[in-house]
Amino acid sequence: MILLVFVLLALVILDVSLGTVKIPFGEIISILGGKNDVSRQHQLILLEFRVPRIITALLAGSALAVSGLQMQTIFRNPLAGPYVLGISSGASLGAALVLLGSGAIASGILLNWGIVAAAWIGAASVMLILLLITMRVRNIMTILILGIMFSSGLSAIISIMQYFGNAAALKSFVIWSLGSLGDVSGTSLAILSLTIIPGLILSLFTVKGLNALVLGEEYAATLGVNVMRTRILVFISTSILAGSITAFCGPIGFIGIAVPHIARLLTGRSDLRYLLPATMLMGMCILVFSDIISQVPGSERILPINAITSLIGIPVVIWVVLSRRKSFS
Amino acid sequence: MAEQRNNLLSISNLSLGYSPAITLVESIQASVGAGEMIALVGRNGSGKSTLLRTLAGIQNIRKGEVRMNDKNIGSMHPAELSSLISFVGTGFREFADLTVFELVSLGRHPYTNWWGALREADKQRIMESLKFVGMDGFVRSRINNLSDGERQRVMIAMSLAQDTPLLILDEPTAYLDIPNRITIAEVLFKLKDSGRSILFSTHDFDIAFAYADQIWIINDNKMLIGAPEDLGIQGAYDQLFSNSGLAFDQKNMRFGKSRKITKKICLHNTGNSSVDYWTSRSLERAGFKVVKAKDADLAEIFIEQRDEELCWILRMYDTSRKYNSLYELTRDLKLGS
Repeated sequence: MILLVFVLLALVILDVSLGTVKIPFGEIISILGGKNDVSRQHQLILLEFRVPRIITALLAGSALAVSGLQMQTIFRNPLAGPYVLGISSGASLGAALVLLGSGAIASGILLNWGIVAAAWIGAASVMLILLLITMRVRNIMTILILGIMFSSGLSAIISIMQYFGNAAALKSFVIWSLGSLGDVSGTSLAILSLTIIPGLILSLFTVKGLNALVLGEEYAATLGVNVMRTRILVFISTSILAGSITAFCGPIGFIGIAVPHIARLLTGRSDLRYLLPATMLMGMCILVFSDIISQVPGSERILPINAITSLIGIPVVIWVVLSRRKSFS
Repeated sequence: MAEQRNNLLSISNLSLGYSPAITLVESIQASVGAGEMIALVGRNGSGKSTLLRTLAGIQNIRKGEVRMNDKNIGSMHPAELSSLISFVGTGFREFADLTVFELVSLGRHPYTNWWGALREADKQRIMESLKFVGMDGFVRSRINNLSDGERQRVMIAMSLAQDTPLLILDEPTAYLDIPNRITIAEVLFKLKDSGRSILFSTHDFDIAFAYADQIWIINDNKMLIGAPEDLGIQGAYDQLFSNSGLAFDQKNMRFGKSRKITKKICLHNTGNSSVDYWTSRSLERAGFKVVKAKDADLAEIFIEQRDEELCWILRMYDTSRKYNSLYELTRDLKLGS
């Protein structure tokens, strides 16, 4: 765990130092230290672009990884992720409605906020519907199947909208769906932090219940765990975490599915009291690492973050499927 | 009437079933005393698991009342119930890759804080529980690497760590070999000795007869209750599987298909009780009744034992044949009769 903190620090420092414009390390320290005797341009690049991007990566990495862990535990399915409940599809539908539905090629702050708000509303509506279902359906596997169906249904609607959307709107939507850590800064970063941090804190309160749920719902109930309350807490925290990140950064895949497995492998623990913090840190590490890769160090290009996380995540998922021993609930 | 006994758990007028239309067991009246061990028996699908799950608070009570320490469990908070009744389910489902310690520590759930942090006293209780079931050498082992018997003992340790006066176990000896079954039964017996009450379902009548203070039999939507021997006198065992054509054999304390006896045969005992016993068993299994010489139909059997050699001589229609094993003897007898 301590090792992970150091790895994370190293990655963050590396990420801060890298970029199309080279800024000497000493200068970075001075800028972050609040000194003004440095290049104005460098200060701008660092404080307006790099630092917000890294903070976003830290928030997104921990949020997606934690919600993935929660979903895998509650559904007792190693391939569940933050998006199985259709939260990402809900957010995408919201974004699609603004980008494709409006038909306007408006740009700037208004459009950006429109997308974020619509994506947020989309994710929240899906969450509400699922919570209502959860109150009535006892079997957790039924909920999983409903979530997947829901997700596919929403994707189908988005496909239809894409088919009828005009070329420019389509391009903006595709760019949104590629995901980006760089579009969040200033006020939006503050809002994102204000939702993600309570979401992460809420996730800590699901640890005890989730640990008992590893044994199945019957045992959890006889151990005095309120299964329904745990389930609702988990869904709310996942929706806040995954929903907000998707709204602000677009859908970022595979962090949620892959990171809990990496954390499990590295810590060798299944107890969520260790695994959840480890997953949080691991998620931060992997997304910051992906961010470094996406900038293709030494070049001027920036690759879409979603592609990088997929390329890192897919081998992990394949490995999980192939090597799945009795090791997972 | 004896003096009023202090009941730990009392069940009155409880009915079990799935939907309003399907009733499994009607109006159960039963009680569990402190330090009692109770075996619940009955056919597959008779409602044993449903009863246990209802008492453990997993399923809601449809009709009737269950009181624990004279308090209705239906109105109890789950956390309160979990400090009074613990539950070990049937068989084993794959859990996450927990260690033995991690699994048993879940038994402390009713007593830990919001984060599930273990205090020193909790850890001590976990170790005591593991020691009680003889699994204290496996603290760091992964439960998925244990044998079925070891895993069952760890599950019992978990419910032990839960520190409840009543333990409910659904078929704790299922899927286990004989030594493991006895180990589990002995662990439960030791628990009973320590003053806890144990209610377990089983298909293992040997264990029920040998260990239980009470047997609860579910048969024909009703529950019969009594000491194993009381039920024997009432003829409860004879009825239990009668519609499957099974009779209860009192001499051997087991159920079986009653065999059609074809012939009577005379066996001259040798005095070696083991040889005599197994020989008459073998003849009975082949469908012969062992009788005195004057009642026999045609055949007689002599056993000869010289030095290490053992042989059976069958005399029939004035001819004699010699056999070196009971297998050959009974095979010929069946062909001849």
